[in-house]
Amino acid sequence: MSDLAVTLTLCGLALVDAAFASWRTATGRDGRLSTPRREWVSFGWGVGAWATCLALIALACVPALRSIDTRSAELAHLVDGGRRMLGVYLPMAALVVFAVAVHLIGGTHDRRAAAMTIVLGPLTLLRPAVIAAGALVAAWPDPARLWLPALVTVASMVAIGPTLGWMRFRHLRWRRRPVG
Amino acid sequence: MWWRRDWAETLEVTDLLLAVDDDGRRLPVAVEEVAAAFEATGDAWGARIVRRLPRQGSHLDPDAVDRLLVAVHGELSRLTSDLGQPFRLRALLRPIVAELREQGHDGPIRVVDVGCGTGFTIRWLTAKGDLPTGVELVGCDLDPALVAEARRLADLDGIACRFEAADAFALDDPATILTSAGVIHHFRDDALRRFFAAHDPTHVQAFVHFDTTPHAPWLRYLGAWLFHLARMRLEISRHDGVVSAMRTHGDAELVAAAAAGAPWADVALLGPAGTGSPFVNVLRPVIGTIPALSAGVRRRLGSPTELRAAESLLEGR
Repeated sequence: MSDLAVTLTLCGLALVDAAFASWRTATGRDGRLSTPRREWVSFGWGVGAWATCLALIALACVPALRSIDTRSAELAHLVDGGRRMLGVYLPMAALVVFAVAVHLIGGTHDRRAAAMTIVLGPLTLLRPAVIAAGALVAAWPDPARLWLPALVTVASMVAIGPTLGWMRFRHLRWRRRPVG
Repeated sequence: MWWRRDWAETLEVTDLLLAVDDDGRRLPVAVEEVAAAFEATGDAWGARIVRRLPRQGSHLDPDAVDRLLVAVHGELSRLTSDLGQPFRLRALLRPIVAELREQGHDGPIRVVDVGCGTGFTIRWLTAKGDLPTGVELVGCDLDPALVAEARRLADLDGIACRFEAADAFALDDPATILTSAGVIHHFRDDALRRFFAAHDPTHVQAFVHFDTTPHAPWLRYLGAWLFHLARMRLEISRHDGVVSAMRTHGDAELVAAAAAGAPWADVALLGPAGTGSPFVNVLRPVIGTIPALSAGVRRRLGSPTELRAAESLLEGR
């Protein structure tokens, strides 16, 4: 996989992950029926979160790339780390894509429910661990150079859900106004 | 192991947060009394949750309780949606409604959701159920706060369905079909028989009540714990989700109570024998129809569905 392909694939995975994290954050908040508009709004917040994460990760890479003399070598190190990350993230992404496809177009509600109970539900719990594992695998061979981008990747991606929940729905926490 | 405890006696937090007198007036709920009730069943988790709830003096803050219950039902709607519950109900209502029409039932067919909470299923059926004309959808719950929220959400989305803070079995416009999800496990022993006996055959032609499928206890416990951890944000939802899954009735126990309480109905369970795949059959319905509908409904449900008649489930008891 070329360097550009590694970079674009990682960015694409992060985009999809952020969009789903944002969507999950919006579900079960107020009991309203989902509508395409409401779901797209959630995905839109995810895109915003993704852009913020990318900016933070890029900032974390700046120290390594500061010196013009060593920039290309450092960049190669970073891309190698990204390649190792993909080794962890792509299998999970493939599972999620398969389960989402079954849930959306799987036909019977039995299959849709199975996609949720077997894959999507448990993987929601595993997601922070998988993100951390990917970052660890990426940074392991060269922690001195890669610990900061890896740490920022984990922190920003894991923080998407709670941050968006706080930004969008903190007014709903137990609902401030009286019911009825 | 914890999943081997006597779950029939275990309590759900949401069941104990509200108390009303015979006139329906709200009574104060003492925090320590509720917490002690949980401790008496060995449920320290439940007691801890209760002690952390907002108080007014030594009693629960009633406004906070209302808001909490609304929040819990908001989370429940997510679970309902994830498990495809409204689709499953629609798939059962359609053949029952069609058969009712076939048998000459010309008037309105009133589907009443017993214990509807914030009315997710009724709102979904109204907006997306594509049920035949003449089907009225009504949600009933004894908690006025939940019903107020159900009405508010229906208004927000422009959904024309009805919600009543009332006993679903004693409506002025009685039900033709009664349904519920996650309600019947609250009734134990004779109370379960009385629940079915409250279905008045003068009006009720069919019922469809869903509850957790009684898979092996360890599997139910693990599944409920994992899934509620993944999908619910509130500790109370996670606790009650696990307890409700563990309190479900066995197949034979459920159909025996339904058959004894509603002797006018042909009772059956829907789902493969041996409870099937735990990943698919999370909830299974007990179905009752007047005999005139039974054969037609069975035919309309089609061959892939497996209706297990009460007689076969009760053999050997």
